[in-house]
Amino acid sequence: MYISTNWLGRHVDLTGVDLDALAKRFTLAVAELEGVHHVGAELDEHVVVGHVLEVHAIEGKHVRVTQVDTGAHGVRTIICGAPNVAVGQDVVVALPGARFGDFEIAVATVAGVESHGMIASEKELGIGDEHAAGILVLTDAPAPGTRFSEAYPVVDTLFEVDNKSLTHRPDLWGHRGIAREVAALLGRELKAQDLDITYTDDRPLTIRVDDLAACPRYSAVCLDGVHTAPSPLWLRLLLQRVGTRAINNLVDATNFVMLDLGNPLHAFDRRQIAGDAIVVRRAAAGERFTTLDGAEHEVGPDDLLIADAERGVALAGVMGGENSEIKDDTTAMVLEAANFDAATIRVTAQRLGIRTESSARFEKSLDPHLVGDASRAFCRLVLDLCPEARVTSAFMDVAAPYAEPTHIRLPVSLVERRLGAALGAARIREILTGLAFAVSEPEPGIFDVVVPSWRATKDIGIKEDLIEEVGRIHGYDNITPEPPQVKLIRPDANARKRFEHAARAYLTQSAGLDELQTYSFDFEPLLSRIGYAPEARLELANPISAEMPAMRRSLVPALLGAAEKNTRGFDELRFFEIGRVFHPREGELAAQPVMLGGLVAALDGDGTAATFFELRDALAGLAKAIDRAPLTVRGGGVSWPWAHPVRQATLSLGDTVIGHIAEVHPAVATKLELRQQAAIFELDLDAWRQSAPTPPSYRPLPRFPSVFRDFAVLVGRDVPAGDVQAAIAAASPDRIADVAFQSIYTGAGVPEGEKSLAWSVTLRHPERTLAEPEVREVEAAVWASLAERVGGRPRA
Amino acid sequence: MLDQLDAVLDEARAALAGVADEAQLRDQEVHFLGKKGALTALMKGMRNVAPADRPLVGQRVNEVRAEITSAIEARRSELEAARIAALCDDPDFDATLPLAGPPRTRSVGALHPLTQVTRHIEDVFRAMGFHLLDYPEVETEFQNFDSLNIPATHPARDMQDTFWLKNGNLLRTHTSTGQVRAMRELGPPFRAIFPGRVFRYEAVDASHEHTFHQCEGLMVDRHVSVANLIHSMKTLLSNIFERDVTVRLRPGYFPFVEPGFELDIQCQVCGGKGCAVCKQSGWVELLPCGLVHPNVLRHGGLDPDEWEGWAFGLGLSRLVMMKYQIEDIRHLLGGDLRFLSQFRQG
Repeated sequence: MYISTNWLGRHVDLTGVDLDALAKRFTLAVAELEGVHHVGAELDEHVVVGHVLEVHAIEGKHVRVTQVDTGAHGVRTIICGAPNVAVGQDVVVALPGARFGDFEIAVATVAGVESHGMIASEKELGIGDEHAAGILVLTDAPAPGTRFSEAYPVVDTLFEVDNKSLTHRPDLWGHRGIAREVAALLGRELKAQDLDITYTDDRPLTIRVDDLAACPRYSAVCLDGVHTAPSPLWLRLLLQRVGTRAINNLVDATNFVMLDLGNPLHAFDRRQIAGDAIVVRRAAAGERFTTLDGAEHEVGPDDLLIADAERGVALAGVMGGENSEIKDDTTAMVLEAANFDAATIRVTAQRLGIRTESSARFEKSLDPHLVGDASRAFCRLVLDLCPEARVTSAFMDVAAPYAEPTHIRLPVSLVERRLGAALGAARIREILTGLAFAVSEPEPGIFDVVVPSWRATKDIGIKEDLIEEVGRIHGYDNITPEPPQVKLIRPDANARKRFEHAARAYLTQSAGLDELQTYSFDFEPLLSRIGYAPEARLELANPISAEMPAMRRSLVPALLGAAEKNTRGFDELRFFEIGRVFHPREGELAAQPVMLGGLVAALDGDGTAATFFELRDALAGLAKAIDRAPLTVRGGGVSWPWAHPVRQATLSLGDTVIGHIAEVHPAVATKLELRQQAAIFELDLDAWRQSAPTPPSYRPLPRFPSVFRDFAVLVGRDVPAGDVQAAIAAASPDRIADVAFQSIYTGAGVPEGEKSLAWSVTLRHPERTLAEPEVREVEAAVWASLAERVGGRPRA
Repeated sequence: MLDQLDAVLDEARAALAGVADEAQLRDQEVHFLGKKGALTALMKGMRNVAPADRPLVGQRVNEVRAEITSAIEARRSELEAARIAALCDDPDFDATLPLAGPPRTRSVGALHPLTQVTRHIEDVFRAMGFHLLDYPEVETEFQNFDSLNIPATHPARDMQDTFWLKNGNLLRTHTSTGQVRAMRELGPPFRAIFPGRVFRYEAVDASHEHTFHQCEGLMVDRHVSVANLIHSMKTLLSNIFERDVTVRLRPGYFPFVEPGFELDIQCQVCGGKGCAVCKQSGWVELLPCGLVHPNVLRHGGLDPDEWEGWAFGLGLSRLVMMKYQIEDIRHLLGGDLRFLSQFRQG
């Protein structure tokens, strides 16, 4: 929204004010300015009002030679090409030296005649309709020679206000409201308005409001003897500067008052108001209504209509109707000034997709008291613009009872304490009074503050709101920063975050995986490529796209998607993600466990499950890094559609499965066009975190020597090596210090259906040297344990 | 001619049966159907066929071509199935088999830049006695809006701004959802931050994402003033940026704080003189903050006459982009290793 400082000057004296400095203060105290624009500077010098004395044709040319009185600048000969130039006109003359953009006016010879200036068009002045033909003819010009910029508000400084920063300030949607803030900032007075209107009762209307909740106030005034004509230049200029196109005097007057006072108005052609009646009612279901932009809408009981005795004539607060708008031949009109409920207007504007200057304002909860001023301001302006116009009705006004004035009890000490600034009662009172709050002090140190009606609709209701008012006008920059005085507390580092960070640190620093983050939504095309149809998911009511309709239940699809995306660029892929997945639950908030998923992919060298084992061992290392028991790896048990049917395992804590690990199924890898062999895992990191911590424990360093023994164990081919290892370790826990894998062998010398596993076992006792007999005893125990637990026997 | 065609078909069937892999299959495809293939060679004999027989022979040629083509495709699926089956076959696979020898050392991986920045912020706040909290991403309407004094008619509740779930819950639109949870969980006085992922219903482009990261900060104590807030923010931001920063507060409207502010920091690029980054203003809008609204304190079970607080919401994604001068927010969740691998350290 643009605010013209010339316009502000109608409400507060800005003489001598540095407008750029004011703009900065405004940003810090009121609302963000997105820009400050100085316009019309080129019209300041060398552009004057002129009076056309003579116009003569030049033989064979389309231009004409004129004599123009420019007061102190003399009577000048000026060549003019405009068809509308005529004797007796007041015009705008650009004297030599005037600049319009890159173009400078100079004395020049045109068609054999020396021309001493230029009669300007609206387009050349940059102040009006681009398409207006011919020169600008002034209707209310001062004496010839008067500087154009002195007579009209052409040189202006515009504040471009960020509308979003005004959503909570219904009072700032017009120049007068802004001027009130400026006056408070400058410590100047807001000028009083002269809104005296003499009403008659010649041709009244009736007003009926069916829904006072949706329309808390409706007023109408009738005027006869109006006529449509272009508005005077000052009015067109002000409108144009703030980005509103001038149409005709009556429409311009409604726009001017809206932009001035903030209350939208609507003008009806009285000929079209049937039965001399205005009815404010809800639309009937299926009712059709054509707005003045020619669009037809289906409206219904959610929408408020302004109707006459027969039909709708305006969509309340949003847009007028085509059937009753002001026409070129309008001579009698009805002016609506009303207040509508914000939510009602918002619903209609949004559903029908019509956002107007009017609806934008009503959506902010305007002050019903504003209606009377807006109506009177319009009448004053129209009576000026159309001298033969007269008011032919009373000020007809239907309103719900006004809200009682809001009183707020405000301790002075609270203001000072919350702001952290000793302002003193006098200064606080001064600031509030400057913003039109009524302040009294019924008991010492306690203010009773009455909120002006235009701030009471939703903006100001509690003492904290007043503290903000005082703070912003005082200036937050004037508050000295002060460290908070707080109790020393023991910061509790969130166990989950700390745990997650430890996992991240290990996976990046030691396992060499990159961390990535992906969307929390499933991506359906990817799911179908990998053949995954998840069970019950948390579904979105308004997904951003049909391809992302629900929350993920697993991190894996996105990890596979990342592999697909990166497979061409890298021979090896290593990455992981830590993030929440979502499981719907009946009657309570979805379960949102934090999962850890990872993928390792490498070009397939030897046909072994190398990536599977790399990931598996990374998880074993991770367990140490995060002080948790290692996960038990058991082959099989994975139902993922993307899992290799054989190269897969479950990951368990005790008997509880908390995750899975598998090579990517070759068919899925083919579908994703992966160049690499990939393995993937996913586990419930929350579950692992909640298991018992296993911090490093100290054991005294061995004082007695170790003995090493190798075992070559024949077992069935389907016996897991992990079981064999466990069988050895369990044979004599206090004497077997370590069981290290050496090799696996099948082939000559190993019976069909069996395999040979070679282990290097470290034997040691904490309290004595193991002598040969005891070593043999342990050996025997190992073989006994192997025979009993896994059917193992020595390889001959 | 017809005999020759049948012969070619038989020959093709026999050859395909003997094909062992895709490369051989392609050779046979060329051999029988290629431009210089057996079938094309036969076609050249068409001119010797009696005109009356030509339609019949022509039809047969097409049939043979179709049969060879489908035989090739059938063989191709067989081969693919066999290839997959072979890849799936690993009778000796033992998920528990230890790897012999020392593990290979790997080059270091990258922490996601969001993690790096978040960790830094967590360290800064923990050093100043803040709790580090973590709250759900799927939330109730109450927690996301009502508990934060956002009225039922507020535009933020529209479908245009918020991801709603079919069950009536929603994806949190800000980390502020944790404010009331933290008050109830910790009890006053306390100070805490809660970083996390948030969601807005928004079309994605270089500077907008529907999924991004924020860090909420909240301090509740007996006396908390605007002067304290400014001091805290200045200290925190100086720690985050690892240099002294100048901040200023502007009025900003957020229903859950009163007074509410937009906090700007003096432009780190030009030092406040004005440049393209700060749009010549010398200031960069960094975070919204304010004193906690009494209604929010009430929802947190606290008496607003007894307890006061300040809160802020820091845009982590924005901060990451500022820190590394990342031009496109979509990189953050895009999963492109060319992006992520640039953040490897050590």
